[in-house]
Amino acid sequence: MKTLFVNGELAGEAEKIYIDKQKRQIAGYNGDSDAPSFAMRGVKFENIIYEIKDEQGNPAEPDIPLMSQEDLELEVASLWYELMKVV
Amino acid sequence: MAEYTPKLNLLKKDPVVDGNDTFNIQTMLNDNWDKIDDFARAIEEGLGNVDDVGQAVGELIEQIGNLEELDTETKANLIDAINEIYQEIVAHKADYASKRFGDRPYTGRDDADMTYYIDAVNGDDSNDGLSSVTAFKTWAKVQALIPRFMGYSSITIRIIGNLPEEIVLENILAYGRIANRIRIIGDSLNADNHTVNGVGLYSIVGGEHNSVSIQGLTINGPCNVYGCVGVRVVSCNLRNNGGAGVDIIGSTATIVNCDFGTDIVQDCISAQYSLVLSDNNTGNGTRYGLRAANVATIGKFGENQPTGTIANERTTAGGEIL
Repeated sequence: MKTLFVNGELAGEAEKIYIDKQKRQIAGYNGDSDAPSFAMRGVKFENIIYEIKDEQGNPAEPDIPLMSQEDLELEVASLWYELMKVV
Repeated sequence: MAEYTPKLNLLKKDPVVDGNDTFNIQTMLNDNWDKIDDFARAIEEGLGNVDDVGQAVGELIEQIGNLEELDTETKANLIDAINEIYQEIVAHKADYASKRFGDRPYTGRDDADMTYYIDAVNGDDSNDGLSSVTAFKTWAKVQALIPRFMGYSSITIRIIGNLPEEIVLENILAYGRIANRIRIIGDSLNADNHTVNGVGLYSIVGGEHNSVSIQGLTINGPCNVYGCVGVRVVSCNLRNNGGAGVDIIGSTATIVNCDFGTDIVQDCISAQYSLVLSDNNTGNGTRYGLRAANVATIGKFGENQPTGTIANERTTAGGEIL
């Protein structure tokens, strides 16, 4: 279990915490659930100081989010396009 | 053979004997209706003069005691009977009082829409409150007039100028299907002209889709909606310093065209165990614009949504923002 602190305050607790600065999202997931146990959208990363801690209170890294089917298809299409330009 | 009833003198035909008579609408129906109507009117007029049941019974006891044609035993029996009724009335009144309805009316008029005015500067609680020039002065006066059970009527409360009080409404069942049962509105419909210290709506249900509307007010304090069905907050300025702009728990609510200012509230709209529609609201909370927790759902509609300094939206514990 990991814990997210934002500006020094407890903001969420989950087994996996994903941070996506590009999409300005933070989400925590437990088990195999598709629904986040907590989530933030439109996060103003420029305004906040966040940190993730493990169960022992030591700093921890955010998890790497699995790519969605839609994003995966876009990524493949983009790579294919780049490949075609080279060929 | 036709006869007349002993009490109201209504014409009664005998189907066996009079079965072949021509049906007469006047004598067989209309005359009877008139007699029943006269009787009902007499009863109504009689009851209308009784302001104090106990006093009326006492007068009746005295009246019967003066009837010279009654013998002593009959008088005594009558007085005993009336005393028994009187004791039952006293017991009934005590039972009613034990229900703790307080000073508020139990039910309201089902046939009339009421409008009350409050003017904290020029009003007076001894006024009738029915016009801007005869406005009440305090919220407590209006609150005491709102029944716990509202029938097919609506109540509009118009606030003239600022009202330096917290508006609290609680424990109201507005039965019936029409909408807009209770409206609390700034008289000019411009929220900048009508500031209140806070709003608290607790356990109010009923109406087609909204039981209470708050409109055109600047709320300089908490706006709590707890245990209510169908609350609308419309065109208001919400300025709760250090709390939620609108705190919604166990309710359904619509927040429309409201402004939460800048960096005043923590969360502009905070919802728990609730269904909420956020429709075209502006402003920024020091934490979140929309916060849905504990299986609350906030639906978004309209061009603008409130933002937050940490994040625009926050969900937790089964909450979702759509």
